[in-house]
Amino acid sequence: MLFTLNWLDEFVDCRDLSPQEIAHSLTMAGLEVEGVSYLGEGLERVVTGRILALREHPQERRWKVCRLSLGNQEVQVVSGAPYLEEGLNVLVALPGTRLPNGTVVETVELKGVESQANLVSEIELDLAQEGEVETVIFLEEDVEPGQKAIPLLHMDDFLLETSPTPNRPDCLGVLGVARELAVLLDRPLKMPQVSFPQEGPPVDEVVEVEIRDPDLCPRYCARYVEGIKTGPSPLAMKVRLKAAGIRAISNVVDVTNYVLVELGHPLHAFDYDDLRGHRIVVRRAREGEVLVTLDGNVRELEPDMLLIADAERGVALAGIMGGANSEVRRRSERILIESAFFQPTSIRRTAKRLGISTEASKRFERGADIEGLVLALDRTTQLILEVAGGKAARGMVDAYPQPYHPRKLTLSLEGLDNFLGTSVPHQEAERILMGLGFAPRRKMGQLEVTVPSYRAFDVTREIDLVEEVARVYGYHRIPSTMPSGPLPRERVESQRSLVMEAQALLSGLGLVETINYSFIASSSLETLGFPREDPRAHPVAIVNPLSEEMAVMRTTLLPGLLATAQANEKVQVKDMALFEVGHVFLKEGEGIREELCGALLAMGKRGTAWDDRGKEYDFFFVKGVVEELVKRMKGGEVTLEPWSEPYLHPGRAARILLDGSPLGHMGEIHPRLARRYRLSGRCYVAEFSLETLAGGRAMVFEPLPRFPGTTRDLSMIAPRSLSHARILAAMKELAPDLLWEIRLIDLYTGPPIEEGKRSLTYSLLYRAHDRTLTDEEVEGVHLRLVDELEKRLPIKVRR
Amino acid sequence: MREKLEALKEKALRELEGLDSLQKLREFQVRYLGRKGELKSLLKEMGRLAPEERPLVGQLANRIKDLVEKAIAEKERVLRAQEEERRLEAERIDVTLPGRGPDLGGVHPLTRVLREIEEVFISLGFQVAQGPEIETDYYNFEALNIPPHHPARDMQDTFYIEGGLLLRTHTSPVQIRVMERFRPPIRIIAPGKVYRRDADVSHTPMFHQVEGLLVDEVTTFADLKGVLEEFALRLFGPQTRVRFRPSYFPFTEPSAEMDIGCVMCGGEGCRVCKGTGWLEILGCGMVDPAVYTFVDYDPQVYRGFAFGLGVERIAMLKYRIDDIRLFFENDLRFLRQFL
Repeated sequence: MLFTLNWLDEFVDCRDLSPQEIAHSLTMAGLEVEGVSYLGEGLERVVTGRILALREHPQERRWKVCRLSLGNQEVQVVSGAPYLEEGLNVLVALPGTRLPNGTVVETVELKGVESQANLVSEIELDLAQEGEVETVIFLEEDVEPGQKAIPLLHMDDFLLETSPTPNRPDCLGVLGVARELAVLLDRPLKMPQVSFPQEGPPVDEVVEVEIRDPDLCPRYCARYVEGIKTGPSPLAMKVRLKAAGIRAISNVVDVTNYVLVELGHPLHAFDYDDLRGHRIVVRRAREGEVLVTLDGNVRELEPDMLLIADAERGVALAGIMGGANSEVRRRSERILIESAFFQPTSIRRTAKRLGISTEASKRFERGADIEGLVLALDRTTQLILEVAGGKAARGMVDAYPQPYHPRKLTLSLEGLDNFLGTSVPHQEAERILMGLGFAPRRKMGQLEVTVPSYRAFDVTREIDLVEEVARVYGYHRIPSTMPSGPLPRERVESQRSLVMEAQALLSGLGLVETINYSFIASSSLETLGFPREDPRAHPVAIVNPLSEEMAVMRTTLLPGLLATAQANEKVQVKDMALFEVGHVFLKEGEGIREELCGALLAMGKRGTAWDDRGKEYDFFFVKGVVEELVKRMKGGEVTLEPWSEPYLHPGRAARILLDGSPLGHMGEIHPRLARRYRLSGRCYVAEFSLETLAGGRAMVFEPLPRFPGTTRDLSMIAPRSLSHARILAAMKELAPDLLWEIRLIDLYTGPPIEEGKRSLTYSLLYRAHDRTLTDEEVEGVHLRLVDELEKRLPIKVRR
Repeated sequence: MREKLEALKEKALRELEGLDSLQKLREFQVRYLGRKGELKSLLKEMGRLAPEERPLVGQLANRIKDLVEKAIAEKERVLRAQEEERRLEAERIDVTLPGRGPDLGGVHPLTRVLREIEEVFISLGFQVAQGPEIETDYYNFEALNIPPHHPARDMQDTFYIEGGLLLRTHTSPVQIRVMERFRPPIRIIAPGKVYRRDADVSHTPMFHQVEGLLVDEVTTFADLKGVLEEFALRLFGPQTRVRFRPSYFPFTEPSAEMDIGCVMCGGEGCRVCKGTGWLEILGCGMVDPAVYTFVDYDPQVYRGFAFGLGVERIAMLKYRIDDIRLFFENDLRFLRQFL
């Protein structure tokens, strides 16, 4: 909410404090002040001037050349404004001024005549729009030339911007803010004194109000004023409205807005002559009923929306916006002023459904003051009589089918201290609640309070009173201590250590962690090409996504990693090894399963050192990372089997198995997909279930070998179609007891090895646990293994 | 004979002086002291000497032999040292070439900051808890005292998904899930991803929060201040200024916002702190008794506090990052700064 300091000062004396001090006090009591600025900012070089002489511009007959006195100097101004006369006092903006509407004042030559300043109208001050005013601002006769304009414009004032929390609708008005400040400064709150003559007809004779839906409108008050004259509002009112962020329209509407800001209660004025039957009926809208609101929009209403109607039709959308059919216009002479209470939830629902948010709806949906609305009505009537003339009807309509019963609460002072962990002096607690309007009565270590109607929605329990006392007393006066309670014994499970270990290992293995959005474009899954029966092809969709790019929840981490690779290539980062650890979201029956997964992506050059030329990321880098990760985290045996995944190169795709059960997939991205993502090189990925690696690895000490081992190399020529896994399996199957370890140490394809074959060299470690093996023993065992292997596999061992 | 021996000695020592390689030294040794060496051939003439002279000449010959052997050994030592020196000189490398460190990766800056945050609370006896990212309206709102049509729902624009579910807008639902499963005392933090329908320089539709909850029978508002102040000081350093400001959350009462003195300007007022000198770090408060009724705790018996903080915000302040979107663009030039 926006308001000025002088306005606030009308309700609590505070001009002796700096705006910063006031902002700080309010902020530290929970009403955050987000900004303070000077209203007259930039208008320092606008002064009063008296027109000494006028002559017609020699070339442009519509223009006048004015000689103005600014007290101790004179200036010449060329102006096209009408009604200029010698002796009139005007506002003169001197060069260097940037006026609120953006006009920059400088000395210029206008068709041969020098103009040394600008005359100021409300348009330049952004108080009126083009066409709303005819000429410049004329000041009173007795204004001396050469004075600063800021005070005359009521702009020697500060603007405060606050953002009250949603539980404090009372702070959406200057009065409510003043109440807070009064209790903080321990100063009296000055309630507005409202009185006005009631010289019109008795109100009952001119209007009748019927509330058909008291559940949505428990109170509706109205006053009638006739003989008004609409027109522009006084400058001071326009300035304050503008400061509050509301555009001035005409005096009657401006007054309702002014009181809305001042007292926080929204009001509405109808043109009485547009109210058919001179009746107000508060009722729910009928099926299919339509209302054209003030903003010109046609609103299609639903039967649970509250409508203000006359005898025949809707005239306002209750608590949100008036209807165009009964708007106060220039010719309006008789008006009906509404001040009512509407049920917050109903207003909120209607406003939300119709997509409207107004100053009025903002207040009603947070909870208006059912008792305070009479003051608002009277204040409005008083100001309308002041600025638009007319006569108010005798009396006011007050339809109040559901009178308000104030809530009584009790605050235990001992409980307060125990809860806050400090001791608040009792008088202080009492003073605070008194100042906030809770009328406390002390009784046996307790305070009995009555909740004021303007706090009816947010103070309903003792704890709410604790908060009131604590925040005004000051959080800074409460000490800081360490909890003295016992520590929990029960263990809470989480995936933290699992995630942390994976992050640490993958980082150590040379990969960089990325974090991608959990939502992806559904087209990115189609691009990966999962078949219909694959659960990854059926993501959880977001009903109201921000964009198509973020429309579904990811079922795989790969689209995020691929997009990241693409984005990095765009900025010429082509070598990368990335990983991500996070949840994917899979539909499972009626439910959704969130599975913790890990994924890797590697492409481009691998080594970064100066002698690392030629090393590239490849399939076996990724495989090695997966193997190492699993070995460290879980143990068990990782095997890869050729597999088909639609997004992978058909000859370079594998399913990852851990002890025979599926763990994930890996391989080279299909060239077709690589092109889609504009990846310049071969890209290798792996994705696996991280959850499966939970639980840690069993570590049991194995006694160290006591006798030395002997190695034998075994070189063979094998068909390329014979996999390493099969050779290894065969060796293991044949494995004599003495064979401890088999390692592949060389692989070669190419001449002189014939086409379709390759040479593999294994290093075999032989060892006995109880003796040192002799050469003959090893030789014997090894030769038998070699012979046997050659019988079983289509290989030729090189001897 | 004596003269001959002396002459041989002089000659040998002189010659030895001029040797400059181990190879030549070996040849020298053979030539003088070898089986067919000069000394041996000289001694063959011993027979011609008088018998009484023989032992004396023999002694002299042995002394000379020892002397030359020692000289050879000494020469060898020197030559070996010289040779090693030459070899080492030849092995000189350019030590200014870049090191060949293994290509280590690293974690995301958010992970780094999250771990730091977690460590502080873990050291204060908190355990880590988790909850699903796809939540029900009940856990995300209702059980947190945010009924349908509550104005507080405006504070968080929600992503909805099919079937009436939603993406959690905060980590607070974990509070409820933990309280449903455990009885007090409870001390947990719940880090995780949250989602709000918002996107600009300071908002991303997904971000990370850490929720905290402590419930027992004795905890006070002063304890809330103590714990969170401790957190701020450990994370931002012992000089950090901390203040608590009243605020509003439907699930805490009284509620507060914790600010720290601006890390950019030190409190002078700058663009980052909007001239206030303070930065909002987290929201907190005493658990609202209404929340206890949802988890079947007796509000007369139990009390505690809860807090929630944004990991991105803290990372941005710690590392002076000015655009939140950088965290999710995963530009390696950005990520590598934090490895």
